[in-house]
Amino acid sequence: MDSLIKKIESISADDRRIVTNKMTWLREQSIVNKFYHYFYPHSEVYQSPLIPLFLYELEDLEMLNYFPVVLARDGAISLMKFFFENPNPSKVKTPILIHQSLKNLVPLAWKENIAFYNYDAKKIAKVDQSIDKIFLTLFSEPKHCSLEYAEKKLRQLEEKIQKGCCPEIKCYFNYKIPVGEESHDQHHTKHLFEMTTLIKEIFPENKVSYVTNDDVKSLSMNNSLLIDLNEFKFFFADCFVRHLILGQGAVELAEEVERIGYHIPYSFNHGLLISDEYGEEYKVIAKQIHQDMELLRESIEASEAKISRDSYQFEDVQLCSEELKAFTYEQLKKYPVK
Amino acid sequence: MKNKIMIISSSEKSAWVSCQSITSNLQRSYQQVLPDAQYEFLPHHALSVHCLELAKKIKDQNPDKIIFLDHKPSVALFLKSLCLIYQQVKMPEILVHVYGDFILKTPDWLDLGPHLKTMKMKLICASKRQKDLVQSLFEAEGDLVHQCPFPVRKDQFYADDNLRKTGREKYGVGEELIFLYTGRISLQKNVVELARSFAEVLPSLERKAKLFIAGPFDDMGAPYLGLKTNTGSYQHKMMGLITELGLEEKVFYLGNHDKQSLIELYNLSDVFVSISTHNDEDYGMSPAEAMCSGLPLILSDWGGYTSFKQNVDFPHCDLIPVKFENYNVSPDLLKLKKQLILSSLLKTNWKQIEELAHQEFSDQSIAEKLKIILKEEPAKIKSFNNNLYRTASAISKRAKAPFASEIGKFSDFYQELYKVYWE
Repeated sequence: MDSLIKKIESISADDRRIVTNKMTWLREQSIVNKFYHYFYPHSEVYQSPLIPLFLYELEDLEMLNYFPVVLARDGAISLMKFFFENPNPSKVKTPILIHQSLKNLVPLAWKENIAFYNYDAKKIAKVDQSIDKIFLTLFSEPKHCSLEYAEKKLRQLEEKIQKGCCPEIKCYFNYKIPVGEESHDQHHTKHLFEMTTLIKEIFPENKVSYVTNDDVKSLSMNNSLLIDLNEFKFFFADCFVRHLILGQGAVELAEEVERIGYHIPYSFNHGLLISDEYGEEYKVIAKQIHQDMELLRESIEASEAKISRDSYQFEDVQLCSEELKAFTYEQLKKYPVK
Repeated sequence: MKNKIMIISSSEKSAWVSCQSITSNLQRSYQQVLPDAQYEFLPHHALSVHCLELAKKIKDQNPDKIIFLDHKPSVALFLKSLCLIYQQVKMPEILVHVYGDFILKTPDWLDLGPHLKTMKMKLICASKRQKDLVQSLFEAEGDLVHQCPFPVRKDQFYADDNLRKTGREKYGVGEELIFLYTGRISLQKNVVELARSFAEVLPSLERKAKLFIAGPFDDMGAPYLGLKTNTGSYQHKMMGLITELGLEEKVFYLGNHDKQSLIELYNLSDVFVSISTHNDEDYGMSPAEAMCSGLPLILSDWGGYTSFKQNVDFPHCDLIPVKFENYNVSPDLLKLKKQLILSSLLKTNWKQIEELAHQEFSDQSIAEKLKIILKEEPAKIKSFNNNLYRTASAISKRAKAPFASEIGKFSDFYQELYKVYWE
């Protein structure tokens, strides 16, 4: 951990400038364009004391070696693809920080090169009079947040709202259909409709409203609670909107698990916790996941061959194949990180 | 016969918090002067078709005057539709409240070109220097540009001993002197420079002091220079300064506050400070609200800020000179430091300041000022000055960095155009 902290502290202002000015070192590729816009504004570039980037943006992994340490903003699917294509870190010398909830996806061969981050913001146990707004952030994709998970979370939230408190529920929903998939996509629309219905079932309808990007940037967040409905960090883990809202003073609900680690300040109100603790269960789970992946390698490879990083057929441009996507989702459900 | 007046406003809230207050406060003032005025609304991003429909409605109703309250949509775009509908028929008198983004709208005004000759008009700026800036763009017959500050609600912003006491308790303030900055926190607002100067004078102050900073961080950079910054970068700069100089117990970022908690902040504080050199600083809603809450002001001698001294001859407003050197605009930080030290010696009469401010800026006072402007003869725009052509060209043809010189700093033309803001 000490050597990791030293590496983090050695990140220079120049390194940060390079990473935020990607056009100078990254070739324009369909995969970058498609998923930046699909995930936007969650994918927006922001100023960080670390080097945040999406691993799927890199054509050549040796690019990573320029930086002392990088933070992978990726969710489970592009991370899994990264490990699938690179079963060991032979080309990569730079430590990579991934979201703590994705630790079980790390192959054993990568263990020494991967550490974890998690959000570190002010926490509250109950929603009392001091909270006048609750921000619900959602990306309209069932694998980003299932209806069951949302219902469980929102019911828990309902219980934590003290009697007499009636905060406004501000829904910041991102409704997008990926480029090239418009003609046969309906699950985004269905998901958004179901989520909206659910929220209005749980909370008083006159208290629920929809907010836009501009609202989020201009509303006061001092007395606000953030509920980020990102169940498995499936598509992205490090989210601009979350930084934006926490950075403006919103708080989060306290979780049962105590978080420990090295605090990296992101704003006056929040930061990230860095740790390299894998926990006791990791080795067994990781071994099982990657044994299963090897068993399926042939069919995953066949499915991967059908997709592309750079094509004008945007439907073919994918972060990973359907086979790998389904495999990853199953592992996340089977082995959730506490 | 009574005049028929129509007030046009935006149907949506502005993204700028200060503009949200300004338009609703202006409406209150107009309700006092023109209780029978009819209100019409246009969307923020109104297109020609929206403007045309409203123009038809206006012609049917044939008002004597039309007043534009908001900074969006573009007034010039709407006026073009109005001209198309009125053709040779005599048009109503037009009153336009001008905002800080007027320069960005110059291409629309240029586009209005020949139609302007058929209109009688008044442009109302919120400060003397903005009036000078806008005046420098037009050749007019009669008084085209008028001055009237934006109103502040005196039932919302006032000096109150109880609020001061409870606010100071809430924020753990004892006898310390509190300097306060509120508003957007961004590069051109020079808030980091303010914090650094404050840190440097701390040992010389007569009393223990703290600097409170409240408002949203804004990473718009300097659009006139094409300088873009990433979200979070200015906050990082501020955090870096606090760590570098060990100011954790002296400089406090309090977050973005709504009106209710702003009034508390103004009341618990002792001096309001802002050394902004932002190109859109046509007025200063935060200083106006601070003053109405009884605070003395330390402001950069820039744009609309200067009027806080000029208009009221206000003894508790001190202006910090602004320099334009090496193609850069910056406040004189040495003078700022001196002023911070001096202000730690002063004893403030909150009530006296509040009274003076309410006389000048309350919605009732502004209603009186508007009444006078409404009675004055409108002007006719004869032609555009060269500055308008150059500005419109810079905004539309060099949109990514309209006022940048070759070396990425402010161009000679920016200096020429904006010299009224600092000279």
